Amino acid sequence: MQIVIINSNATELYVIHKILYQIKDIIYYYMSASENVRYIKIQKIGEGAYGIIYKAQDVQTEEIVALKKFKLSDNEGVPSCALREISILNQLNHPNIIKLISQIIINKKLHLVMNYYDMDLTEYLKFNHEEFHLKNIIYKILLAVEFIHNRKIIHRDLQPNNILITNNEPVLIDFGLSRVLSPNMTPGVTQLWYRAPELLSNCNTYDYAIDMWSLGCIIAEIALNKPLFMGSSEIHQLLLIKNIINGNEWFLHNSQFAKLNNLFIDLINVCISLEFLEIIIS
Amino acid sequence: TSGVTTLLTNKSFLLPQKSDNPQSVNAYKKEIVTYMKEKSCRSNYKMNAFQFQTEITEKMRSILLDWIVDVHFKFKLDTETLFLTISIIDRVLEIHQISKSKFQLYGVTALFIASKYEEVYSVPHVKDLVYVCDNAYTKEEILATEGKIISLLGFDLLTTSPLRMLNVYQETAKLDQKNYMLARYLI
Repeated sequence: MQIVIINSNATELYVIHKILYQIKDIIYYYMSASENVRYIKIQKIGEGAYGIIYKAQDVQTEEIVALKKFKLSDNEGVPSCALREISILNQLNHPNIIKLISQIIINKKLHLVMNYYDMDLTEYLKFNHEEFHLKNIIYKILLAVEFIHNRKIIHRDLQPNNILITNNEPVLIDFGLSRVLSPNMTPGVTQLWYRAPELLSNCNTYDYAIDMWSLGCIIAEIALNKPLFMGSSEIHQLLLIKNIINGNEWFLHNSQFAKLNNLFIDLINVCISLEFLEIIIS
Repeated sequence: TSGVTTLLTNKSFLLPQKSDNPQSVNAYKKEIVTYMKEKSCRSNYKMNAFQFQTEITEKMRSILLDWIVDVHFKFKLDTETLFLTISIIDRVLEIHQISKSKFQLYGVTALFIASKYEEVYSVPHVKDLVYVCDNAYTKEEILATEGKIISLLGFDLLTTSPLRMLNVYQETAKLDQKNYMLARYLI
């Protein structure tokens, strides 16, 4: 279809716009009927090892959704992270955990359809917020993590980028790395800054404690407005942890924790418990 | 007897320790057991599957499972994977008509899906699976069947295996090593 505009003035443009607007639904209808396209990609949001995330619009309900596209390799079929993510997300029904609307196949590629939220915790923390909202967010995150732990699932990739915020309510996303607790697991999970010491020392029989460590780092980040440990490599990260946390009363010697409430410090301290580290060192 | 000693020295057959094992996550035990019971009720094996199937008989299922156990041992996979494979095969048998010639294809694909879901490092490659089937099926057939099984089950792969239930029960019942091995043999 080609539209050539000659001598365009305001009224003509208005008429053309009106016509285009009227036939928009018809075009969408034909596209969805001929190619089985229900979602139209608007823009790319993120990219990872597993695939690409798009912002898209549902043609039928005009709802904005997030599409997560998985790379399907010719040799190995459906990737295992997709298998785990879909089967786990199907089980989880909680207001603070992302809902999987459906899974579809477009052009022989697997797409997950999920709700779209435009802000994650990192961006949210760039603005000033009331203490009440921040406390609410921490509480809701803890509830969501308890919910998945009660189902014997470890998230294994908790970080501010994987917590989306909508109307001051957090939503947990990205279960691509999560799995059911088993005696033998790979230690190469979680982003480096939020990685627990047992993972850094290459232990493969860990448990929920790694999620709690990430949560402690996230809570401290909410309180301090900057990440707690910013290591550049695994060794550097371990050194940072060792320097900051030294003994049970570590927060007393650290000036940046002085302004915080005692209860808050207790919460962080419980999450970043050093029991495991002592076992490893001894 | 050498087989028995290797079994006994194999670490995964040891009794899971209670007190010093952080993986037993005692704080969450009550909720986890409730959830596992709820799940296992749903995934019960129904007896009417063979009345529904026209070509597959119970004897053929047991032959297929024997073969799966062999393959599973060759690939050195986890015990949990075997239980998940059997659960997938049974659930597919309940809802989908399978012809006699395609039954082994469904079995090997179930093993493929289960190992992808459960294993850490040793996921078998498709070409190895084609080889263990003695080239009876092609790579494309396995991949196509994989998509079919997954859509039949609606991605519902989280099941409670008898092994997981046993591990929970043995902690409450305080079984010793000998009785634990007996129970593992029985399931």
